[in-house]
Amino acid sequence: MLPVNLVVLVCLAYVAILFGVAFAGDRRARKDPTGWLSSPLVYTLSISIYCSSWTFFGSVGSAAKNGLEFLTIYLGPTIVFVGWWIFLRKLVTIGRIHHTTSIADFISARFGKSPALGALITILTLVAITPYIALQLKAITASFQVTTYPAGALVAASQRLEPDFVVAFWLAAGLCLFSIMFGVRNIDVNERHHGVIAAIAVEALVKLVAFLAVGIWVFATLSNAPDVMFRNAPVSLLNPEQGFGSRWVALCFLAGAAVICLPRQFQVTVVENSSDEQIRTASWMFPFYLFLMNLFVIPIAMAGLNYLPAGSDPDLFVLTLPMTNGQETIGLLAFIGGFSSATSMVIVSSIALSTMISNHIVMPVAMRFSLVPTGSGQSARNFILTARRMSIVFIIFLGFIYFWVSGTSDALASIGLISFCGLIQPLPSLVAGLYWQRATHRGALAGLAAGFLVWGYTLFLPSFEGAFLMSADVIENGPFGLTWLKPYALFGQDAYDPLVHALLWSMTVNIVLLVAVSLWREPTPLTRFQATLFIDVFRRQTERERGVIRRTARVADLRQIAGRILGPEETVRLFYLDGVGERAVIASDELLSLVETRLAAHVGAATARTLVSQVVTSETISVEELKRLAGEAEQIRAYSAELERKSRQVEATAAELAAANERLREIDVQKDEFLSQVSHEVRTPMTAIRSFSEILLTNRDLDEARKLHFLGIIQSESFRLTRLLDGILDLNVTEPGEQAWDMTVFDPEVAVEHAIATCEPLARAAGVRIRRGRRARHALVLGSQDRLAQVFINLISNAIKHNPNANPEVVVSSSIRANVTYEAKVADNGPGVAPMDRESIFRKFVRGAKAQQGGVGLGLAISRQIAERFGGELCIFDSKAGGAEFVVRLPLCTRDGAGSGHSTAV
Amino acid sequence: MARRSNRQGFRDAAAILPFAAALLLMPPLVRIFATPSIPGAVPPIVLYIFAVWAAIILVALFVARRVGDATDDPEDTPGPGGT
Repeated sequence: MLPVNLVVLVCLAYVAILFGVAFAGDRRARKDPTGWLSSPLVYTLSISIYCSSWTFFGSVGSAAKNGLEFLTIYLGPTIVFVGWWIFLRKLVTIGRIHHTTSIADFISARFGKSPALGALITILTLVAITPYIALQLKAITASFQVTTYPAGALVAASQRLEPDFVVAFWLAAGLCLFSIMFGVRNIDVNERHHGVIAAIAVEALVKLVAFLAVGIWVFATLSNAPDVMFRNAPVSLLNPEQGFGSRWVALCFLAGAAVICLPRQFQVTVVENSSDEQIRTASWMFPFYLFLMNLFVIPIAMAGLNYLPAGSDPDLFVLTLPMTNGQETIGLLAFIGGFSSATSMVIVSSIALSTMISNHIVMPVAMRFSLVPTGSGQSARNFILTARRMSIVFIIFLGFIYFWVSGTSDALASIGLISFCGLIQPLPSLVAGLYWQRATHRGALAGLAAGFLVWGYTLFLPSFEGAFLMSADVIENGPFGLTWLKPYALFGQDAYDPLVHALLWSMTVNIVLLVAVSLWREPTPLTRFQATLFIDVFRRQTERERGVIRRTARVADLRQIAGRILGPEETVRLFYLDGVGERAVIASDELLSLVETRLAAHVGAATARTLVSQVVTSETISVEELKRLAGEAEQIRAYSAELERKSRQVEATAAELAAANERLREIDVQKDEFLSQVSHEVRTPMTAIRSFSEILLTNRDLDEARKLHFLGIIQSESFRLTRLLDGILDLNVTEPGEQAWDMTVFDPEVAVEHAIATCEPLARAAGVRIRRGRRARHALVLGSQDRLAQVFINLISNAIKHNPNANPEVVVSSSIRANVTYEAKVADNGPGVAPMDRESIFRKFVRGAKAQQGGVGLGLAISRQIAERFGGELCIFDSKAGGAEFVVRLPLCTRDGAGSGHSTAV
Repeated sequence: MARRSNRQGFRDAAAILPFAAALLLMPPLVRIFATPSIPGAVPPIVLYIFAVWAAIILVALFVARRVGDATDDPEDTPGPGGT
């Protein structure tokens, strides 16, 4: 045995350390809210309060009695956590965004901030969790008694010990103190408790280390070869075929649901969550923690069966094994591990429940009967804090009383699973709330209440074996002799284990009522709105969404309400730093929403809404808007992929359109220019013709020589005019879609020769030498020979005209490129064309910079159009001699007129 | 684009993982290993469950690390709180 004083001293020292950690954690969090306290590791460790003393002592006991069944309690949560992407991520994100304070708050907020729903869940939870807390008190008391039993642990473990209620009482008192000091000490009554989380994380480490220490010691010293080790193993382990039926599945489901729905789990997983990163890490780390916790359960259980006398309580093997083998240090460590697993569970459970009680029962009732003090700034906050402190004392001592009343019976042994089954009744509402738009608060209320009643009737009340409310006769034969109502065999279904039976019926009734009642009545507008917010939590919020609820309230009233709950500091921040509250008299919808959200973080969504409603003078929820929103949300999901694809198409089209538009505008400008140029060009010769013909008409006595001179001018101007009009006509002829050419297959060299011959006189007159370069042979193109000759005449005459060189020269050469293209070059040694002008010279009416009068500025434009009509191109480069070099490229064709290579006949 | 589809792959894996885990740990699959143990050996069912459990945790670790890149996706950025 260990001396009582030593054990008590160690306990106190351990608690003192926890106090220190919690205190430091609180201070640290206040200074740096994003520090290591919100690290994924601490988060995961805090989730590990799932392993209560029921795990620490009970797993080994269960393994010794029922083989592998204990694993279901950890495999269920493993499945839920590795599946975080589907469910937990959404749950946690909503909880974080909406500042959820508890599972009751979450469900009540989702279903239109219904106060009734919050209150119902709170009461149900309180009923179901009391035995569970009693179980923890029992575990610590028992372990304390065994550790300190004067005749030694072995004797203590092999006989029936009367629970020492004095120890239990002081324990309960201590737990109250700790919970109050750190859970409800905060002046800031919001939803997170950094200090407690820090302490819980330390406790998680302590219990893991303690259990591993016992396990490793047992494995190293008491384990033998498998044949000896499994000598006394229970039948269910050696011949496990029977163990994997409905009970296995039901227990996995139960545990998986419990790890979401237990108030303490919801508190640490959802309420205390501050980032996605945390849940992402916990998704594998928490299952890993569970894995480590269970690694040595079977060796310890087997060693206990082998080395301890028959009749020893297997629930205490963890403690008695080291104690009977003289390993008192390890025994003390095991005791501390059990102590820490029980205390952390009780502390967090009572904090979570106290929040629920104060937010969903005390506050609504107090507001209904105007009991909330309205005096000074602190009084309302003190009222809430007091309510929570009282709730903690109430919860823990309810557990103590339960322990006291039932402690001597065996009823507590199986209460863990019974409790789980009651506590997971909110699960259907929770899941429906996250995924089903149509679920209503009436459906949730009906499903929850009915599921809970079925649980109470088929599992909870019969578990007292006739000692409480339900008599043994009713359990055996059904009420009033109605055998089809026997609690363990409703409608004669006696093939199942009572737990599976109760789980099946309660969940069935719960789900059926939830669905049926939800379908029966339309959801209220607020429920519909909240459903949209919750279900579409990963979608961006739109402006319209915020405009659904329109409320009117005076800023002064709102500030007073906020001040009472949030405290002066936060109120000032809320109202003044944003600058909203200073000038306005009527609060905006944004401010109202903001205040309500902040209030909800302190007192829950339902109470916050009631509070705000007190100062709101008018409220309208646009149902039409809401319906459209919900419809839109559906549509958005369905079409978002398509939209994305289309938007890319639209972008491409828009770019094309913009380019086309730009081109059109250019053409329009060109057209205007063209028209004014044409009028101008036509006007000049016309003026000359008109004035000279007028002179000839009025002055009939002019001498013959002058008449001839004037007639000559008239004639030359007419020629010029004709040339001009011919040019314009050519332009139109070459425009696409205009009259067709006579298409023939011909040798382009013929056109080149014709052009050179035509230009010879002009060249001779200007003193320009035309040199023939290398020439192509047997080339054939499809088109109009005259038109092509026109192109070359134009190019050569341009080269002759615009060449101020002292020794002017024009070189004409041609070649065949890659067997598909005919290429002709006309190069000169003139000044060339500046790069910036190279494209513009192909425009209509643009003449060279130093052009002499005479040309109408259409030649190159026409030439290019002709080349393009051939399917080729006309462009300009620098010639080797320093001047300009015009290149005509045309696609070749065969004798029968088909295009060769990639080029096509025009 | 390759990265995007890769990420989608990990998301799918994250969604499938719990179902795969449940399948492996529930009857009828688990019953294959629930055979009477041979004297002198660790019962096969114990080895099977612990091995599957460890494997699930390893896969979850792998998936959680990879799927993390996805959190900066605009689709995943939740909007601010409502009323």
